[in-house]
Amino acid sequence: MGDKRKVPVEPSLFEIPAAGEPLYLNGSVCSSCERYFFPKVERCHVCGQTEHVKDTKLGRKGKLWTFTNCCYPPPGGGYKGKVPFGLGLVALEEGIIICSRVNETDTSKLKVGMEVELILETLYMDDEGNDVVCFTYNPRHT
Amino acid sequence: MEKVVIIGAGIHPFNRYPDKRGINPSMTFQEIGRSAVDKALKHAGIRFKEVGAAYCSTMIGPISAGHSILAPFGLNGMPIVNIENACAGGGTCIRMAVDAIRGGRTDVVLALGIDKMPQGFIKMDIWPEWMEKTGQNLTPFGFASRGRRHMELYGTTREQFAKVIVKNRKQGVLNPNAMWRSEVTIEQVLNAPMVCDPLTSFMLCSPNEGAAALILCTEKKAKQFTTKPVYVAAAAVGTPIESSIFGGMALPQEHGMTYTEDPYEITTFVSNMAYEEAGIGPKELDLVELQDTDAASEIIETELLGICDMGEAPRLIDEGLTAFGSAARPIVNVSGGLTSKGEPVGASGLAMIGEIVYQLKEEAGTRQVEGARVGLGHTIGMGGNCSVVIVRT
Repeated sequence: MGDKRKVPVEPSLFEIPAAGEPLYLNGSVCSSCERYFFPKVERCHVCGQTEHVKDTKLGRKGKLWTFTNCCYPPPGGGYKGKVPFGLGLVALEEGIIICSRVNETDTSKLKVGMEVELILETLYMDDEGNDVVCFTYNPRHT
Repeated sequence: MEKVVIIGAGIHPFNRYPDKRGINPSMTFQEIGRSAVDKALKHAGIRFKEVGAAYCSTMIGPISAGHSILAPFGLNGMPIVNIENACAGGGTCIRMAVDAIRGGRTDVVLALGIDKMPQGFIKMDIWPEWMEKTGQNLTPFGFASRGRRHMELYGTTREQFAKVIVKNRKQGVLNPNAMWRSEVTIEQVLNAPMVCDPLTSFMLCSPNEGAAALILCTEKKAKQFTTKPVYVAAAAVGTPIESSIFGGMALPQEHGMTYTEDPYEITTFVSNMAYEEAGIGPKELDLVELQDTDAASEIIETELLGICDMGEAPRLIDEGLTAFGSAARPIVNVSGGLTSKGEPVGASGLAMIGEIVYQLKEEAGTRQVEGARVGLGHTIGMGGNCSVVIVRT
């Protein structure tokens, strides 16, 4: 029996960092428009071109644009984690706002503009006993 | 430019029937659609064979929905076009009808909308798989996030959101086309189960079933049928740009949006197009039927439509200025809004204009708004689709 492993809920979104290494999201950037994207894109949604788009790492830090929580299981059955959980829109340092989970269910502890940082959380354990993990933004209470 | 008149409106009451699938087994999708078409034809006093084109809006209906609904009325070879444009489907039908009439293609058009929606969160295949796996594929995520930001920016309270529902449910009591026809208290709204903070289950509209139809024609043709014409003054439809945060499902586009301090708002953009087309400003409106998918959306869309400044709508709610019975104008969602009627998505935008037509023709009975001459119907939904239709006497 091997050690319990961490497995990304969706491999294209991020990689599990090696010990001591920082966590990033997998995104894209169009060097012509200086526009970042998450998740990855093949075509820049601003200029519509493909030639200046390349893969990049992003999303380490940001600010909460707004937030809520989800108190019922989302539809479709694709989500296998616990309920309730936090949700929000995060303004990343790279100049885009993205949808994300937020690592706080109690909205009274959150404020618009609050600094947040990227972390991993375990959603559930899969059939092989691995921890299925997702990225989330953790509020930095200062 | 050719003036377009609405000569008939028909609404099959929005409702839901308690069988296991959340679908009424006693009346089919087609029968519900025919009920609305029949009412619209009778209201106009026109025969179906005079209709020269039909546009049928549905979000989750069957293939060739309009064709199967209209066949028993006696097909005459006209073009029937089915439209899926989410919440803006009804407004899009009106836009296409207006374009067809102004373009001289035909002088009479039927605009029809219908849906039979299952209960609960709307399941939609538009959500990307990664959002489903990470638990983000729910429409109230955006609505609640937007409401929460309004609270932070303007000091809006949960009680003010609750008051929107108290107002709309009170108005829904008077509307036989609404599903919820009982009043609620602020406490009941606040104490209902939380879905996405700050929105409780009572603060969200319910997907359900229903249909609505309008008959539109040239001004010349309308003279045969009515001495009280209701004109389409504007029919604007639009979609977001990439830096729109709160268009569509009230979330950024799937791959994020460019950060700006003052995000582009699709409702502002489309309503400004409509005001320009109509030569009418927001201060001249007597009635507004807007997209209250939730309590926060009524407040925010009231502001984005220019009825008041940003942050001012909660005060209008506190003072009852947009409620039925107020001397101020416009009255917002006199029909009870989506939060009383429910939302069969494809029918919703047409039922808004149907209600305004009844009001402008002074046929709205106990919910008649005195002296109503100008009304606006607004929808915003998936894909960022937004429609703003202005009608006037």
